[in-house]
Amino acid sequence: MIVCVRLPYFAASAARRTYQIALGAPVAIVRHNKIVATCAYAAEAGVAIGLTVRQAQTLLPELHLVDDDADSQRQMLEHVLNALAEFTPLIEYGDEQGWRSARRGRPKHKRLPDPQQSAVIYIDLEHLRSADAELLVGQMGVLLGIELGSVPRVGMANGKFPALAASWASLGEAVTIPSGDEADCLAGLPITLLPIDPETYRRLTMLGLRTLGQVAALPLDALLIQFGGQGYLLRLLAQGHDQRRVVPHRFGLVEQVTREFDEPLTYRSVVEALLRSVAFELAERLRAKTCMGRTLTLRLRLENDVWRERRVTLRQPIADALHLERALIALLDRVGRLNGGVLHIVVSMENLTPLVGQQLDLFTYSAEQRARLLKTVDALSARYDANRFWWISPANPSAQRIELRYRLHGVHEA
Amino acid sequence: MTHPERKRTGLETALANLQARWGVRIVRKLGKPETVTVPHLETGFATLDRALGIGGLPRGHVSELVGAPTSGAGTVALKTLANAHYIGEMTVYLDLSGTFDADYAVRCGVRLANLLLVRPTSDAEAFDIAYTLVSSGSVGALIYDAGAEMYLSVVWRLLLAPLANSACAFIYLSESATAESAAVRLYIERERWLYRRRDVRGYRARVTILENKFSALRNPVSVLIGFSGAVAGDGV
Repeated sequence: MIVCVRLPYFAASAARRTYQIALGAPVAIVRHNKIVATCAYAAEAGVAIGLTVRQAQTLLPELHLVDDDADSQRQMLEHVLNALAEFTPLIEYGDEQGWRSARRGRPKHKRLPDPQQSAVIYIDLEHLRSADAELLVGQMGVLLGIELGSVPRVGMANGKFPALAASWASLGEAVTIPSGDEADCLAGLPITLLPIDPETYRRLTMLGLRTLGQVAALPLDALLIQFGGQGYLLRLLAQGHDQRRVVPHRFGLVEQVTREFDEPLTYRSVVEALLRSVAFELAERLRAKTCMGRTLTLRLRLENDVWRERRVTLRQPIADALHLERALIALLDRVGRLNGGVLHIVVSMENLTPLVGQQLDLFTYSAEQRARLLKTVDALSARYDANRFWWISPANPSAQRIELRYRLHGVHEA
Repeated sequence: MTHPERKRTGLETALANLQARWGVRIVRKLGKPETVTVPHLETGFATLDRALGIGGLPRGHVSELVGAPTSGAGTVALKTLANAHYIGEMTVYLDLSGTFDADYAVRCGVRLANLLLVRPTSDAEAFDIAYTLVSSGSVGALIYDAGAEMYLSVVWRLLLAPLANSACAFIYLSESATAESAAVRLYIERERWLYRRRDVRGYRARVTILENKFSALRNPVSVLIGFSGAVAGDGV
């Protein structure tokens, strides 16, 4: 069960919280003398993004103007994510809806603007029963209401996109799309919910496509010819098939271990032994936090007060002492000859992720994997036809004719 | 510091800088075998596994086996499936070309209980099924037998992200190189038949590694495929 928590007018809510502006007072955020975000009240009064400050004040004289401060908005978002992380580590900040301030840099593709300037957060509740999920979501809503002073819109479904669409139907209460009914529930919703750029939107509307149901009903080949690979994804989303996983949010945490010495260490073997103890301590700390890390940095201060630094980003996040030790020794090798003794060792681990590593998938048991495959094949045979999928069993292995030796039988046959 | 020592130190510093900038595999010393741990599935042909550098075909990436019918590409793919079955994985054979032979698969060591055969009717449908299966994380290895079909290369890139998040070894069988995003690409051709007296007992195939993102390219290797009862690998 995926939960989508949409926080409308997030930037304005964050500013209201930071500058302690009263709940009923209209707020707008200004950058370079232009409005870049508004609250719900201001939006209702006609204050739109892109207006100049003077135009906005003419429309709404009591408007509170606040300078754009991406850092405080980012901090507020981290604060919200931290609060949600109390429930589960499987939370992801989704930046699909065009609210730009929480992430550094420009987005890769320009998306259709979100009329409610929302921040979107996805939460994976895994196999929680729906009654428990609704209870938990209610608690989350209360918590977010206290933190932000606004009502979050919550949608629940089997995938990220259907959950997002459900959140747009929410007026405060959580809206749930039952499993299997995704296509029907999404059919009447507008195509503006899809992650498309203005040009794709223009082309879709020129083709007369205005609802997700119309996109879902198109043949795949036609969409591929018109929109290439994107067409394939759009059709999947419009049909309510969204198998993207919730990627756990990486909190900006750093774990650091230091060793300082009165006398310089001149023997490499001693430095290696110390790195071993550092690796052990770091592993203990990561275990206590139930985290793994990917970016490892080794900093050494030498006798002549020169710092030597080496950094590595590993393919997979690690947390155990043995791998940490190997990585640190490899970093020491990369430092090369130490011209003088070592006075100070600093080892830091960044890119910390919760201990829900994907490499565990490598060791899944066959029974579990088989059950998952059967479930996927069930969904696929509903989408296409059951006569595409076959199991094979021996019929008469000693038969002269090769085609008689084995028999194909459908996935739904006993 | 003596002159040779200074030169060596300078060289080591330069190498460390290069590795810091471009990754540890950009430069390596000859004579020291590269040890990179990449999740993989063995092909069952020891010489080929050694030549690939990582010990087999990588998981989480596309491996393309290019070769005409009866070149040995299908055998390499089926023996890789057999190795996946040996460790209890579920696998899928996407038979777009309609040439899957259950009898030959069993003789390659494939366990039929762990194999799902999919027969799609079009390449778009085949891609959609492959995408869904890979995204679900329920498959240890998937053979996409495209035969002579070619598909839009732009669509292939969509598969890379879910594939990277899964432990699935994606093996693309084709008659001409098409999968642009393949991490490993092997060209397989039959060199000669192996006779015992006047009976054909197997054949020797030559495998050329056209692309390998995990190791340096090496010389072509020969693999021996024997038909004596069961299809055997090297050293028939």
